[in-house]
Amino acid sequence: MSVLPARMPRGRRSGARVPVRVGPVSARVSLRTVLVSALAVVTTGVVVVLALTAGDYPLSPGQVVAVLLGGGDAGARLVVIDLRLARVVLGLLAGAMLGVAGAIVQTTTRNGLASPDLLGVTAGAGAGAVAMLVLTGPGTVLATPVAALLGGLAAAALVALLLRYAGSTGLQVLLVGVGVSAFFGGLTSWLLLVASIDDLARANVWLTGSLGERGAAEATVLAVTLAVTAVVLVPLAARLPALELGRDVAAALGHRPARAEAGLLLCAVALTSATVAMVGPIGFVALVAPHLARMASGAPRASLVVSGLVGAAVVTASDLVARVAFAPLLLPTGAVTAAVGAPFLIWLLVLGRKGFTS
Amino acid sequence: MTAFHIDSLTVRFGERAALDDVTLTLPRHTVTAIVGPNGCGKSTLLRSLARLLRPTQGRVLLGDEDVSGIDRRDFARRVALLPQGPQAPDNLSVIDLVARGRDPYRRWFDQWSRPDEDIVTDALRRTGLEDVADRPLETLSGGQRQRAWVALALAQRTDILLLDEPTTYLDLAHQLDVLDTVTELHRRDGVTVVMVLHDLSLAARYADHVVAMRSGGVVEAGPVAEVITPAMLRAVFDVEAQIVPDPDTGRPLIVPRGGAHTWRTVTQPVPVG
Repeated sequence: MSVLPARMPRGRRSGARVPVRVGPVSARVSLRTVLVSALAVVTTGVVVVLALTAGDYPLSPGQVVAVLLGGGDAGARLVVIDLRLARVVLGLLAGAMLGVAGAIVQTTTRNGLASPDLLGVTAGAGAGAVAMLVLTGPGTVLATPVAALLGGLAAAALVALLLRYAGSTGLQVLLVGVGVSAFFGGLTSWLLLVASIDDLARANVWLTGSLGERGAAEATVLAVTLAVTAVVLVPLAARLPALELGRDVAAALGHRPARAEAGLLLCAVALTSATVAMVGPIGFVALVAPHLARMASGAPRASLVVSGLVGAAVVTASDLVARVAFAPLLLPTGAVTAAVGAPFLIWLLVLGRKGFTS
Repeated sequence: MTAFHIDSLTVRFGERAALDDVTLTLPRHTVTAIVGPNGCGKSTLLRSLARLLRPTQGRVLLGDEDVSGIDRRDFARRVALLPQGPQAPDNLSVIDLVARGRDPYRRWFDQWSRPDEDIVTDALRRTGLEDVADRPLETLSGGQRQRAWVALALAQRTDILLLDEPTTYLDLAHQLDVLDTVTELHRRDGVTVVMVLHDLSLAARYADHVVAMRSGGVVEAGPVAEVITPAMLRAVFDVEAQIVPDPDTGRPLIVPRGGAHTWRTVTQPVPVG
């Protein structure tokens, strides 16, 4: 009966978990995941403070902290709250949403290479938003995210349809995503060709994927989207551990896998599209954040919360780099995330096996 | 006492009928093996029992209820399924896998109640995995890993356990290991076990009831000694074999003589000169 394991573990244990029970709520919590979350929060906090110090009127971290705690002098308050805070909050929200969306897509598709941007959802949302901008003129702050959502959904539907015929393992997903991205990228280029000069300028600023030139209105749209999606996501996310055992096992455990997966992916598309509509396409965050979260927590799957925290840290840090690296020249945030994310993708591809396993 | 009653069940994939008008009764508190050559419809039958496939015609009754009318969570509390070659993500610990077996009982905010903990611990003990509970699945032997999946099904606390080829890809020692675990559950708690087995000699050794299938139909079904016969092996598997009683258990032991065609060639006198 007793058979020795094929290979002994070399310090590889999923982190110890402790039961947590409060009234009707209960969970098994991994201490390492809690630690990683705390670390991500602290890192993000430090980056936020640093981001608020940097700019044309340099402030000390002490001044920034004082303002954030409700103190500080009038000048510092003006710079931090009225000039810089919206951009930082926008980065936090966009990063968190991309991180969560990426973790959902990676877990649900059981594919380490799948992420909303690589799958073409970002390009689809971009085309939707540009179409709105070009065909109806400057819309309201709400019209663009709705158009982006429709574009993102169209891209997601196209990917799902193509994968049904192409097979959906490893690289096929990536290839189909590249194809769909190219299609919607082409659509965007065509829309820009027929656009008026004013719309073109507006669209171009937006298409670089930058946190600049945006403010509280955009941050509010993101916050509302995140809040609404979270209400749907929390119960659905509890099904992820069963879903990642495969559809048959999930069904045998009393779930409706197809419906749960569709709901989860819909949330991911909504989160991505809203982000794209508000800050433009910030690439690779949705790919990188879940991997970092998973590796750091030593867990089989990136927790949505940890991935969101990591995403927030990555985007705020990238935006800080974008602002100070070549100052006074400002880089688009998306350029920095791409510079970090593209090598990461190549590393994943070279590493192969690990990220692809079903 | 019947666990399942299958009533003129037909399952078609496009034009092809994987199951063609099958009527069959599976007894309760019994270990049943479904055997047959590749593509005979045995997995389709098992998946229909588990409601993973919708019948084209006919129906499956659990006790006296049509399975398609049972609430899915309620069904998961009565019938557990271990599909063929299940895949777990890397770095998933045994206990995290087995804990999912409580899903049919819990709400999304109630993921690890005290009863959950007790039942999961019990499932680990009965499959002999207590000591490796915190280890990632991929560091275990094939047999231990498969026992972990059995423990997942066990944590569902069902009366019926469906297993689709639970011994595929395992070494012989691990095959016996897994089937010993499963039959022990049956012996101690009277769990009804229905499993698709590729290996006839394992079916003869572990099952009390055998269903022999070919081309989407049931050729024979009944107690193991009545079904495992030279005539059945010839009709279902195209195999010539002798059946002798196992000296230890008295169960049928299959001694193959070769495929039907080779047998004929070999027995014909070879012309000399």
